[in-house]
Parts: sequence; C-alpha cells; structure tokens
Amino acid sequence: MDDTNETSFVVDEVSNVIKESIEATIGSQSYQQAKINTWTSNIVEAILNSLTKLNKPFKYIVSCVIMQKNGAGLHTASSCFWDNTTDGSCTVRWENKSMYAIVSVFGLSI
Amino acid sequence: MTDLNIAIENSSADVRSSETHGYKSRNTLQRNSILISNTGGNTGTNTSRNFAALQQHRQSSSNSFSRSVHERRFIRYENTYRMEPDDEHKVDLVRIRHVTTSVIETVIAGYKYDANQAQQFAVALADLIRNQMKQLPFPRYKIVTQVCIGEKKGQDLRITSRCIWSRKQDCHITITKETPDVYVTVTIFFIYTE
Repeated sequence: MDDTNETSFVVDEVSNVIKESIEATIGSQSYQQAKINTWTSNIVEAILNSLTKLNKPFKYIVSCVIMQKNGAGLHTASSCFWDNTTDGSCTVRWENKSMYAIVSVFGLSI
Repeated sequence: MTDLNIAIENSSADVRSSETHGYKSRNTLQRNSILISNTGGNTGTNTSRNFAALQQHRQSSSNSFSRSVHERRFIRYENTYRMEPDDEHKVDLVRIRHVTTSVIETVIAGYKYDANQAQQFAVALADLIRNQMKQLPFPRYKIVTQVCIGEKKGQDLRITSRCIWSRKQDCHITITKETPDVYVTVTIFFIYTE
C-alpha cells in the first residue's frame, strides 16, 4: 500500500494545495481587470511550486480559468488519454462575490 | 516439516507468476501436485514429475484466487531504449491544428448556448477531440484535452495554464473559436511517455 501512495496521484493532497493557493492570491479581492493577469500567473506558479515540493515522479499540467460574475454561463470539460492506474486529475471550483475561479491539475506519471 | 515449508513457498511463487498471465487452471493443478509431492519428498519445483504424481492420485479440490485491488500488479513493459520520439512520430502541430479546427467549426456551426445541455456538449466535444487525436500517428504520447465553453455577455475571462514537463518532447496547442454568442477554447497537451 505504501508503494501505491508514492506512485499514484493523490487527489486530496492536491486539492488542498490548490485551495490554499487560490485563497492566498485572490481570497479577499474583487475583480480587477488590471490585476487579473498577475493573479492567474501567481495562482498557477504557486500551485506548481507546491506540487514540486511533494517530490513525486510526475509531470504536472495546471490550468486556471477566472471569470467575472456577469450572469453568463461557463462550462469546462476535459478528456484524457493516459494510464488510469498511475495518472489523475483534480479540479477545484471557487467563487467569491465578484468572480469565479476553476483550477484543474493533471498529474501524469513518468 | 522444512520440506513442506519449502514446497509451499515455491508453490506460492509459481501461483503469482502464472496469475499475471491469467492461467487460472494451472494454479489449481499446481496446488494439488504440491500436496502429493510432499509425501514423496519432492520440493515441488519440478512440474513434470508433479503432473505424473497427479495422474496417479487424483484429488479434486477447487481453489479460486480472486484478484483483489491490493494485489493488482502494475504492468512493466520491456525496455525499448528509446528516450525520444523518432522522426516519423514527432508531434506535428500544424496537422493537429488543422484537424482540431475543422472539428470545432463543424460542431459549433449552429450551436446555441443552453445551460442544461452545455455540460454534456462540453464533455462530448472533449471526447470527440481526444478520439481524433488518438487516430493520429503519435504513439507513446499521453493526451490531455481541455474544453471551455461559455456564452458571451460582455464579461471578462482569462484562461492560464502552466506545466512542468520536458520542453523537448512535450507540447501543447490552444484553439479558440467564436460565434456571435458563444465561444469555445480547446487546449490539448501532448506528454511523451518513456
């Protein structure tokens, strides 16, 4: 069982990492068009740094979508061709009063 | 006593290796033969002698080994000594862009955004594009397809992604198509597997 822990994607751990990064970057902010560029970059960088610190043999893809709350609808979907036993993904939806954020992390084992 | 122990050890090793090849009937035969060969003083490694012993004393016992999740084996492939895709199989981004763009344009042509249906539409489009990518001749590549569909109501939207991978072997492509009231963004990642 220890073996599977180190070579397969653990969703809970990654989900926590994502939530912390989002809260730290845009937790208390409201939507500002000027800052949105830095926010998305910061979220993605922070998540990648935390993931590498986990020291697992994985390649990571982190994708972040931030949308202003305007009454418009948004749907994201993903489809992956990989090895089911070792690879995985985790998607976190977050919102505050002025915007939505959707962050997806895909982990592909080496 | 020690003979018995050694016999059982050997039998369990044989059981595991044959289990991965899926020969269930062989498992039962070997177990029977182990029980018999102990009386003759064999250690149970010589299967031909065991089969002979089995024919003389036929015992019937049924043993079934159900594969539980914990015992699932990771398949180990043989070494191909290949570290990079060879020249014919390098990812051709131009071709991928061409294929994906035509797929999206046909799909989105008469599409009206419907909040109830949009989820299935997005998933279906992602599956469709992934299947198209699988048809292309890029073996040993893992494919991640991400589709974003939304209605245009004057809102602002930003999509970012960043990856930790090998710059030489892995790549991605992003395509955005719009109609007057709907936009679609598709991002496809190609990851090489050694």
